[in-house]
Amino acid sequence: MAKNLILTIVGHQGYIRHENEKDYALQNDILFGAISQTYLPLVNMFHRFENEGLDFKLALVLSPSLCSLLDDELIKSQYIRWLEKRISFGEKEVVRLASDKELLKNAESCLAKAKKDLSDFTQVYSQNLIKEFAYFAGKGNLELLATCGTYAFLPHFGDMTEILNAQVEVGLYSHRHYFGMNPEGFYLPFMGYTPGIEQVLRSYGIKYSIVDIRSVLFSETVPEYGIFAPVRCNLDDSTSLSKSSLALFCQDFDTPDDIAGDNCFSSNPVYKNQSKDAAFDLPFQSLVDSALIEEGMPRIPSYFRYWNNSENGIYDSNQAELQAQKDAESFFAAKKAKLDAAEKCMGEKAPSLLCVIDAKTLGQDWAEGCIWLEKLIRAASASDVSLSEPAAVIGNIFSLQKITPYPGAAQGNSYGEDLLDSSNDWMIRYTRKMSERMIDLSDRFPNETGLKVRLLNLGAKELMLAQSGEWSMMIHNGDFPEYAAQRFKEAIKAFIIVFDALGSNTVSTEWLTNLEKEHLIFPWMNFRIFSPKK
Amino acid sequence: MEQKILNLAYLETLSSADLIALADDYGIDIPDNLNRRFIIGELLEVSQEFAQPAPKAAIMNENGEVPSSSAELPSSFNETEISVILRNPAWAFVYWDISVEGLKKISESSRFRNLVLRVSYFESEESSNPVEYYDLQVALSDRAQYVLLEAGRKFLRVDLVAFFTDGSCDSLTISKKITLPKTPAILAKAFPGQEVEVPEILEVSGMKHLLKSHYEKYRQSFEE
Repeated sequence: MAKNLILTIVGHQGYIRHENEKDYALQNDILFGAISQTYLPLVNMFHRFENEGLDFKLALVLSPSLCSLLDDELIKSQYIRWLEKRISFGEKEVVRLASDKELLKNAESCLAKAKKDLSDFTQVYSQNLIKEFAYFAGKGNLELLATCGTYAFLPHFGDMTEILNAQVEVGLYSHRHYFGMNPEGFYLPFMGYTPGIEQVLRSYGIKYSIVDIRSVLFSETVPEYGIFAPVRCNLDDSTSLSKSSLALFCQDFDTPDDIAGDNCFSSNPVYKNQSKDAAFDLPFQSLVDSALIEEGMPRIPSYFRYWNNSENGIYDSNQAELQAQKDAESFFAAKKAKLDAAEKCMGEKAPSLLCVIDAKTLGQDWAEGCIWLEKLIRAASASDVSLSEPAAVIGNIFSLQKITPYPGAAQGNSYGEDLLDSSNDWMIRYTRKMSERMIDLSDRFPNETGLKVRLLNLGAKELMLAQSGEWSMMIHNGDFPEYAAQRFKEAIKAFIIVFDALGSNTVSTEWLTNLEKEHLIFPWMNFRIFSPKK
Repeated sequence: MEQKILNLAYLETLSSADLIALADDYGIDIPDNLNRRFIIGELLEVSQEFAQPAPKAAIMNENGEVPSSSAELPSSFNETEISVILRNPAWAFVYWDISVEGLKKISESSRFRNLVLRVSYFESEESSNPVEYYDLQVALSDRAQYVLLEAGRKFLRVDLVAFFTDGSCDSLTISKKITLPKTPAILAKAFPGQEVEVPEILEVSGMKHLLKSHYEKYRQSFEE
């Protein structure tokens, strides 16, 4: 009997897009680092599998803001310049380190990687990574899940159905726009489950979602197969939707800690030290001379990293790859052991185990993450465990056990507490107030045309950007907290300007046009998505 | 579709099938077996709506000033309202706003004593009588507060109440009633140092780890 391992990779990037590369070099760098370390390596890996005839199956979430950025001509040209600067820097590093054999080897490796990234991005993939993901989805290797428009933490809006609808609708529209297909699954940002979201998802034709372990194991009905089989939500029987239902998968409890917890394998001393970057140690002027940065800019990472996680140990890529192989094998063995144990309890039913992997751990936080994933997929392919996609595991939805999920999230202490604490709780009054106003505006101006529609659509976009869970997360984590607060405030202020302009019937078209050009996300935005459903 | 003004005399001449087809043209959803008088009534109503001249939209002034980019967010929206967000099953986050006029009224009153958050629990969403409530004193300048929730309660509402020296009070605003998650049955059996027996499939699923981590994070907060 087949045992199913479902690997689900979640890729998200806040909408950080700045034409001014000098002042926002550090913030822009987040995406460029992610492209080089995660998304290009993933696409390369998929092609390697294809060339070898290895039929892999993965589930993948690429958030709308990430897709919008990957599809943005400005971002593409900035990324190419970003790579060219690293190549220029690397060529100087190779000269500088000529007498240090070990460091030189690592510098050459980083330089080769930057050159290959440039070649892959521009020539092999024609600057279009989304097309590559869509290609593998079309081939049946990837099951792409949609997610919310701006990765909002839905439990904070659980009492505002219009906001849930808008976030889901924009997420689905974006999915169709970028991938040309309707998704079967919908990923709740931070796995934030709030009662009622199942009705919204079903009303948009979604077949399944993924929740944290608490939402299933703490439900009133004990799940017969634990986390090893999807369940379905009890829907309100008064609606016709009760004829169908939303399937829920529960993520494996251990996976996040295995990879990035306190004693995770990604902290192994042989792995690359991602925080020790050559650009953080060299004299400032040499960074300017190598064209990595300009005068007046902060130090930004070069991604030339020569050391491992041990104290001053020099990185050995062969040793790291061997360790990644071992870690992939032990991870797979642990998951297989779980599936074997579950199989004994489940009789005729095939067990499935869904592991959610944050894309940041695949290359960004953990340099060898993509190597580990490749080894893991190869290990699974050579075993009696099937790598599966979620939709295929559901089967007959009516055969799934019905439960009423418990509220929960895979964030903070399991309820998303990080997104509402003393560091960021000042934000929520603004997002909720503006959300109320947007719902009201969409009801008051349903048939507007011309300038007012432009204003309303801009207001809708700015509100959605303010709703992004990214900002409160960054503030909580201390990742550019001032920047995150500034971006949040700018979005709220823009919405207030829209609101006041509609009230006073006066607007600065210069301001409107400039902001429309700056925030290109959701060019199809229709503010009526916030309308109360009548 | 070409819209023409319909009148009763004309509609009366149409067959029921034609009336239904016409209603369909006008986007009127007609349930099965509906009386033709009703259909005619609906058609006349819709037809009159179409006949109304569209309200002339006010032309927007496009030459407003470019807004200042440095303006801070407003600290108040000049409205008196209160909201409650469940942070987790043990804590709620309460935030409120008081209008300038409302604030002036209470702060300048010689009888004003204090401001409190009245935390009330209810058995049902419809119930107007709380099963229990308590007051948390807040300062006039406060605008947010975390509230520890009692375990085993079903619905929560928080009121912002001003108390006066003569014993009277004024409920300034009340929150929506929010549903509190029911304590999972398994947690009632989970005590520190006590092994909880769970089916093997739940043990492999991680139930014991979950209970342990839950107790470490929330301790007694969820007990009934």
